[in-house]
Amino acid sequence: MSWNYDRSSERIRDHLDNMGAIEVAPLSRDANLETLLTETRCREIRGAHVYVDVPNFSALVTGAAGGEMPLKRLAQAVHVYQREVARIVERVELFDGYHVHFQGTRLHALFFRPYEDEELPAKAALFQLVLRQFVRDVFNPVFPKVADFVVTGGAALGDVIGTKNGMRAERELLFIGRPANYAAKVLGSRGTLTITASVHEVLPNSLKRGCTETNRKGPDGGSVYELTTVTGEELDDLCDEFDIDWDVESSAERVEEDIDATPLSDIVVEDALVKMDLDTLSIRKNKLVTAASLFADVDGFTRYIDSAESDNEKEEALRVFHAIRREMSRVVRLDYDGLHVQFQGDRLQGLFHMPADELGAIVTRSVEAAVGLQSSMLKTLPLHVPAAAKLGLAIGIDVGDTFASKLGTRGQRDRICIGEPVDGAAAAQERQEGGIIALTAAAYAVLPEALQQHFTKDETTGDWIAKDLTAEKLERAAKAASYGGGAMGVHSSAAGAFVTRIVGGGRATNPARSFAF
Amino acid sequence: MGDVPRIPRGRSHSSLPHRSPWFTRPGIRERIERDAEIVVSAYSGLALRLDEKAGTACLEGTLVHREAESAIPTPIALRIVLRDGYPRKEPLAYETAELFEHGNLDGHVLREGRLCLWLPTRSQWRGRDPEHSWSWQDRDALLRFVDQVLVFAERHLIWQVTRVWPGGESAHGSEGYIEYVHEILSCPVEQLLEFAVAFGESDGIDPYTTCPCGSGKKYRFCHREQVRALRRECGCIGPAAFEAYGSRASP
Repeated sequence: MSWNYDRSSERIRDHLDNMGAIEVAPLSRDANLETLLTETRCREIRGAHVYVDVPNFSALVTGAAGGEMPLKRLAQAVHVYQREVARIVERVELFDGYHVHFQGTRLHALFFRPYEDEELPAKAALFQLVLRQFVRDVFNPVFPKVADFVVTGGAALGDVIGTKNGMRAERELLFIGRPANYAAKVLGSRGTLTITASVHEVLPNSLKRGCTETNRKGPDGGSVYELTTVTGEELDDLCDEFDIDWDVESSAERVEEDIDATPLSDIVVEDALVKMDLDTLSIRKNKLVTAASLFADVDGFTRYIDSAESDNEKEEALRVFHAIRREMSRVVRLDYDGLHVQFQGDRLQGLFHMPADELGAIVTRSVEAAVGLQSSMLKTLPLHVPAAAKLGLAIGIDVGDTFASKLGTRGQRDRICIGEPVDGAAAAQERQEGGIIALTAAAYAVLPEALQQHFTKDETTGDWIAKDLTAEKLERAAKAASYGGGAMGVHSSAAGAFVTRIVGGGRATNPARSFAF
Repeated sequence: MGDVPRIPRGRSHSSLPHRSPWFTRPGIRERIERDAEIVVSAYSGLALRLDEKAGTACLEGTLVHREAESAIPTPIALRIVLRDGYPRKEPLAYETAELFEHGNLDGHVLREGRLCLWLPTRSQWRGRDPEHSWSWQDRDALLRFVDQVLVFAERHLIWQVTRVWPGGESAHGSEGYIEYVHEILSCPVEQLLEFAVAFGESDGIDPYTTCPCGSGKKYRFCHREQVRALRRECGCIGPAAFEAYGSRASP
């Protein structure tokens, strides 16, 4: 199966025809967002968005790939980390927030209320400080054989639109708008915790005192502030001030319980010889595969959604958004038999690991999927949602050892893929603008020559890039060899005419020897 | 061939004194309409336009090229001009929306958008291409012509991606004709250059000298008739063009 214009166009049309009217309204009551939000029931939510990452997990995958025990320890550490962090976010006596999802080991958390709550920015800052303390004083000591972790964070405040997309098990909550985007973009280098000016302005003095202005600028051009280190006692005082019932001892107890509940002997990390089903993975069942990671981001979407002012404009923007997201997922899953790992805002994370251990074939399929995604974005989506023509997809691909699992227990669970190629693909995508497919050097090196010829080296980034590479360009280049080998078959109908190498059913036509005066 | 309307032969149509458009002559309009109907049944985006005031006849519209696998459509705006003398005289095909690169001869499209389907001496329309078995006399000649236009369009689209013309092509300009002459005479380059003087304003080879082909026969009794026929087909070709061809063709 590969990308096809008619199939793509038909499914986009069907999706839009069946979508129904979209309703965007302010969030007016405390509600479970999981059940409240749907594709068409969307809410404007004022809140503080926080991203917290532990960047060194990825390097550990590469380091652990050679041995069974290091891999098991890594799997245990990832799951235990996620469980305690999710509790810290969500428990009412702790931060009473919402864990949107884990993007690998990067958490997206949201603190919101259906009314003005002055404590939200404080929670966004304090949560980062608590996590830093947790990793340093709880997590690292209980995993002495795993390298020391450091936490990096970013937070932004403002209005976003909450919605839900996907089918059945793939349903995912999504928050679109500047704050959700900016929080991720102000994530600093290793070990820094940052907040945007929007959070800093409304912080209480007790927390503001602990902030220093950095020389970085946020995506909006505003200042970025760093949360300086606080002592354990200072953190306890801050937690008391904001009624957060967190302390090192109780957190350590919960982590010990998690470790006891899933000893290393219960954990399996194995290869995948057939296509993985990410939803069957868990703390006990994990995979380590050679895979190509793909990130596809809708460049310009945040600007587009922010420019929507009237209800009609917002509703239309959401229609465009849902159409693009659904189509992106289908291209990866249905057209190229890849895995849709998750959406991260308006960005899709995909994974290709079949045929097992055949590096060239794996990367080829991921590149063809990227070309399929660009084809939908440039050829079929604009037919049904004209605004899509103003947007572009930036795609990054990298390949290598990847750890795959599913985090969490019951209810909300997150599919995750961790590894340096995952970070490499994300970084390659983030370096590019809409319309570009970027391959890392490792991905480019194993690509067949027929595909390599479409890419040129970007000297500034070192990536191999192709602009507006769509399915017909690949097809045309592949078809060049058909000419010069005798008669071609011409087929024509009301839908158009095409030429095939095999004459059967068509009018035999010998290509003439072309000339120019 | 039985139901093909008879075309008056003899003097060229353009020299006949008339006021009504050329395509209103007996049999011509019927032939055009019948040929157009066959084309339109296969390519519904094209339509016949007969402009009696301007005296022009063409098939005009959009031919939608689709990729065989991905089915991505590429609409190509075309005008197939039927000229006075049709059907003997070959139609001309133009791409009118500048989707193609006009004036880039490597893409075989002239500045005004005309598609260079083939060397005139190898015209399939005229039944001159030995590899092809159709000509204007066939019932579906115009459809076959449009099929060639579609194939040409696909090749141009491929060329836009690869920058290499897919399949066979003749050299541009005079060199294409010399290449043709060389193929027909099938002689070494050095001998071809000796024939060059025969393609000037007049046949510059003394008919009673030994033929440049090296057979030992007199030119008159050897290649003269074949060279004359080639000269009629190709027109005059200057010696400089032969020299340039020779220098490129020689190792």
